[in-house]
Amino acid sequence: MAERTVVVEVNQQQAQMLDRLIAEGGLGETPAEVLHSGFVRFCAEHPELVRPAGDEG
Amino acid sequence: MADREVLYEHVMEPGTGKAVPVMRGQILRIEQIGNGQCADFNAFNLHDYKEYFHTGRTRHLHGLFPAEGDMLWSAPPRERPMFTIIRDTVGTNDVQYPRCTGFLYEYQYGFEQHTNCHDILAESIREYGLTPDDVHDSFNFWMHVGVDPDEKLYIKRMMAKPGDYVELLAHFDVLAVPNVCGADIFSTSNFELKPLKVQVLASTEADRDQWLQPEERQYRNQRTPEDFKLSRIKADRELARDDGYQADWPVYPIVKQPVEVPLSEGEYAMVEALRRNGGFGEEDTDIVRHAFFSWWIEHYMRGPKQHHAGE
Repeated sequence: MAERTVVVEVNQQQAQMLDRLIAEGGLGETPAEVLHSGFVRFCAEHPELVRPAGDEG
Repeated sequence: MADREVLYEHVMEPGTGKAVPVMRGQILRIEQIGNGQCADFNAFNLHDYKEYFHTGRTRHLHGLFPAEGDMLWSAPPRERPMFTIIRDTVGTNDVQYPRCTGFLYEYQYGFEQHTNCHDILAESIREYGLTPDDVHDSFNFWMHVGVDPDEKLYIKRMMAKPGDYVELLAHFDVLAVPNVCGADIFSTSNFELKPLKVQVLASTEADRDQWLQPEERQYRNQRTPEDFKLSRIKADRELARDDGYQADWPVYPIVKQPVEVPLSEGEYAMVEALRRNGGFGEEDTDIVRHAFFSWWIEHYMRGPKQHHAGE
């Protein structure tokens, strides 16, 4: 269940890129799902950047 | 600023640029309207377009990141100061990266058409009868560039905010050509294209006393066409406006649409963590955008990434 909704504005070029990622498959069926997938994957691949507050690792 | 007369004003929308005559002693001001937009910049001698701005000599004389007090130089063998940067409220400029091109977006990213500085500059100077071959390497205002431990360049997060500006005092009559950088998939302008305001201001006596260089050449080796063994060129040297010119930007207008990205509580905690990190922006939308495009660069960009996420 989504707790928050973040609105990201994309222009027609960026939308075209998102459509290409949708066509490639695996990241989602809509621009919102692709943006969400990329964001989550970035965070998963960079745990050093998303440590909880006060966690010095 | 208050006692400087505004002689000309224009807002450059994303996807566009503007060729603007700036006479000796006048001041070109470029100002942020949105939250951080890079301006690529070309410049020509208004009376001899074969004298034009040179990143190499500028970099040689003022280092990798020219800022307030530094000058923009014309290419060898002319090598004259074209402008002095008399005010720069941010201080992050670049003279390493060449202007982006259609080829770059196709080669590295697979775009058949994309806003790019070369084509926008070319379209801008067409108003004065110049061609795409006359576009040259750009001075990149506000482009925030770093050098990594492997001595490779990379593009950092744009630092400029609304109201930030640069002012350039012209040392001779120049056709100045700023454009809204077309890079919306690099952190050059934080992955978003925004308009920029361009003004030409009359300088004050104090401005001229402090900054203006002598008009005559100061060194024998600042050469002129009279020094050349073959000085005649096929095209006219004088730049004259084409009265029939109608702008025809390759990609314009730039239209944005909102995309709602739902995040769970745990995912939103990551937004907060990236905000604390400091290199992803302040607003939720900036942070999600920066993280997404950083991921996309890491996985989809061909060739050197030139990007350090969060810097």
